[in-house]
Amino acid sequence: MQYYEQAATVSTPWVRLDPERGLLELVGESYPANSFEFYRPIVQWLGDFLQGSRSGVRMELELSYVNTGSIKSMLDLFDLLEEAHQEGRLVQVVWKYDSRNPRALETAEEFSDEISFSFEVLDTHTS
Amino acid sequence: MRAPIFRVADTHVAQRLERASEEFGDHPLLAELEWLAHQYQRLEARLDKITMMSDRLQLQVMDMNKVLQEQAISDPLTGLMNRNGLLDRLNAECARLVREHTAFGLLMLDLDHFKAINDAFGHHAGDQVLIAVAAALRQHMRPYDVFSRWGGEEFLLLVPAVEQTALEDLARRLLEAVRQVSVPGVPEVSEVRVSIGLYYCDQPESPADSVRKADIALYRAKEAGRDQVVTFV
Repeated sequence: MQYYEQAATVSTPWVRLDPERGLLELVGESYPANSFEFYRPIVQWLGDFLQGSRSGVRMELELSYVNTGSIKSMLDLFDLLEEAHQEGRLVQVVWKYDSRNPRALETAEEFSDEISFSFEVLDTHTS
Repeated sequence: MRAPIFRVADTHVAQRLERASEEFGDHPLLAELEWLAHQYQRLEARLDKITMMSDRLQLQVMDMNKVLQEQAISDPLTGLMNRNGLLDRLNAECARLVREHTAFGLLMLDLDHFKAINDAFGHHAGDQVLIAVAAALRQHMRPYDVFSRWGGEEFLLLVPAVEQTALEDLARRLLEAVRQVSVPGVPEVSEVRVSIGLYYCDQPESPADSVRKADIALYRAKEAGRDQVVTFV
């Protein structure tokens, strides 16, 4: 598995995929013109990682804006994680948001409805 | 995980599966069919989810737009409307005058010797003076008056639906209100004064012309020694 890092652009988040630490991070805004193209390698990476190792996995998300296509891809990532969790693997997701943007919390709640593993919500404004 | 949302389509799928089971018994493809039906229902639930979240996002964008629109027409220092905001309202008022034969007033206010305050006590003191003056003047506004920071130390007040005498009374009250202003945190500034140009508009004309006339009146008030109201004639 390759370590992978990609700088943020105006419409895509900073991405880090770290197989050593079993860590997947996305920070920024996510509204690429073609979300599926942007997220395909990330979904692929997570799938490969889960196949190739038995260690735990942690996903940290700090996304102030996500478009509809990104939500779809995000749910695909959550599906993979949920499956891994059902198989008994340690799975953690941390959702960081700024409480000055209350709708970001609603987005987190919608995602957390979909899953049964640990989903932590952190307010970056006060912390 | 969230329970699947009950919907007509679900019953439909269930009924069809039941019929298929009655007809084909334990045909090996039946299990496959059930699996496909299940996947179909999952996809539908997922579509619901994505649609709902997408609608939420749209609301978020609308919230942001409102904030931006608000920022686009307001002056961050005084909280008053800015020049753009006032021009919008003035355009509307000029159009209304033509349509309904109403009249409106413009008061152009400019703080006297403001540069001296900035030079002597610094720009922070100058800002505090602007904030204090804006707050004092605001006390005299009716809800539908439009009070803006026109630029620098200039304020422009649009007074719709007003008689000329009432407008002149208002201008004198504002002049007096500024004389009473004390600036919190900046006691060195002991005397704040303002000059006011008054223009009463009861004939159709362009917004730019009406502002120009208020400005000419203000210039005359400055020429005549400041701390006074001059009406454009």
